[in-house]
Order: sequence, then structure tokens, then C-alpha cells
Amino acid sequence: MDSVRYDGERRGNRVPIALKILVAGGFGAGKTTLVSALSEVRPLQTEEILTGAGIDTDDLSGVETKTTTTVAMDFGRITINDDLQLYLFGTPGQDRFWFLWDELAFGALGAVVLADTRRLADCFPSIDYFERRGVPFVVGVNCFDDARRFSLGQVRRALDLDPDVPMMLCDARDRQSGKTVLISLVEHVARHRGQPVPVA
Amino acid sequence: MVAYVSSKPDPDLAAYPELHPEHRLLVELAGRGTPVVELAADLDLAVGVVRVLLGDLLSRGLVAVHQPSRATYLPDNDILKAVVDGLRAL
Repeated sequence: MDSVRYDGERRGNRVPIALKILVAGGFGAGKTTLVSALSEVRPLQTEEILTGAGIDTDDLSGVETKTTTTVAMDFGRITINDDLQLYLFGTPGQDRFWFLWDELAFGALGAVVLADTRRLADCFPSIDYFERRGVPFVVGVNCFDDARRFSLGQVRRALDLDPDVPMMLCDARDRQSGKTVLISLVEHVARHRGQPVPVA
Repeated sequence: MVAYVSSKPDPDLAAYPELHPEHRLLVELAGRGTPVVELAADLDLAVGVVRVLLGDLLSRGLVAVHQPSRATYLPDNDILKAVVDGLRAL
């Protein structure tokens, strides 16, 4: 985040590393469910005020702008160890909040795009966004109970995904399933950088 | 957004009568290190508002902000491995 400056004053304790992972997808694809299933704390929410003036946070006059609208950002936390925490951010699904994505995506490790086979087209914008910005991502096809099952190959063709983008079926309600998706994302990030994660 | 804020140990808030209750709560909540987004969620305030309040505290030296380094954005293999192992162990 760029509104505050680093003052270099550290007192003894090591400051943990926080890694950011985005959870994207169309409206109702299960983003909030996935964040809730994985987070060790109740999913946290912050109401972000959006202004037409943009998000240049050093511009204090931004908060005085009268045309504001509010959107909730979901996020959850997974503590890996004392020095390392993962933050999962559910991106706003509505198109009009695109500009929030830039801040969310800034410095993100990677993204999970959730696809709902009943409304596959809803995740096109997320995929476009991450492809354009070179943010590594994986696609999780969320298996809704009443959805027609398609093979992963069919979904991949429909989404016109690059062959190296990992894709898997998942159940956003299930913690294990969500973990599998995150692990495949981190492995994909490592491959993306040309250094595969050694198998544990 | 995931920059860590830590407050000065034993801050003398009484010396700053101009600070609002939200400022005081922030100093209390930040403690040894809390990311900006968590502070926003705890205070139920917008991230943008929390940034402004933190700016006030920063200028008075009551908090320190630890910006994630470039290296954090491109973590090395050991960190990625720790993440994968940590996730598997959950």
C-alpha cells in the first residue's frame, strides 16, 4: 500500500511477511465461501469507500468527495508460521469496481479464479485481467450441486485458457478442496518463475 | 494494504489531546504489528480512512509502518515452499 511510508524503525521483533492471494470470479461464483472456508478467523470485512477521484491515497481531498459508494471487501487470513501469513482477498465481483482491483492486485502473489459452469462467461473478465497484468492464476471450477457437470477439457476450451494454467474441480465450501487449489496456485507461481517447488 | 503497522511501546497518548478516539484505538490495536486491512476491519472503517488516521499517527511518531519489500512480492523459493508445506499441514 502506498499511502504510508516506511520509516525503517524496527524494534526487535521481526515483522512478519504477508503474502496476498486474490480470489476472483463472477458474482456468486463462491468467492466469499472459499475465503470463509480457508480463513482461520471469521472472514473479515472492510467497507471501502470508493470515490470517482481514484485511489491515490495520498490525496486527502479524496475523502471529501461527495460521490461515494461503498463496497465490502472480504478477506481472510491463514497463518503459516510466526513470520509468514497469507491473506486471501475476495475481489469485488461487480464490473464497476474494476479500479479497486489494481490496488488489490498490486504485489499479489497470484490469484484463484472461481468459475461457475452455469455462468462461465462471468469469469472471463477476471481471466482477462490477470492475463493482461501477468499475475499468475489458477482456475477452480466450483462444483455447484445443481450444475451440469462438464469435463475440465470442455471448460478449458470454453475459457480458451493457456495450456499451462492449472485448472481443477473444487468445492468452495470444503476447506481441503480450497487448500488443494491454493497449493496448486503456489506451485504454479513457482513454475512461472522457473523454479519448481521441491516436493515435500 | 498488507503493510504492517506497529505502535510505539507505551505511547504517551495523553500528550496528544487533539487525537480522536479512533486514533487511540488504532494505537492500541496495532500493538506489535497488525496489517492495515485488519485494523480497518476491527475498527469497521474504510481502508482509506484508516490510512488517513495512520498518517496522523505516523507524523507524531506514535506508529511505525513496515511496508512490504519488493522481495515479498517475489518471494524466494524457500518462502513458497514454506507456504506449500504450511498449507499441506493445515
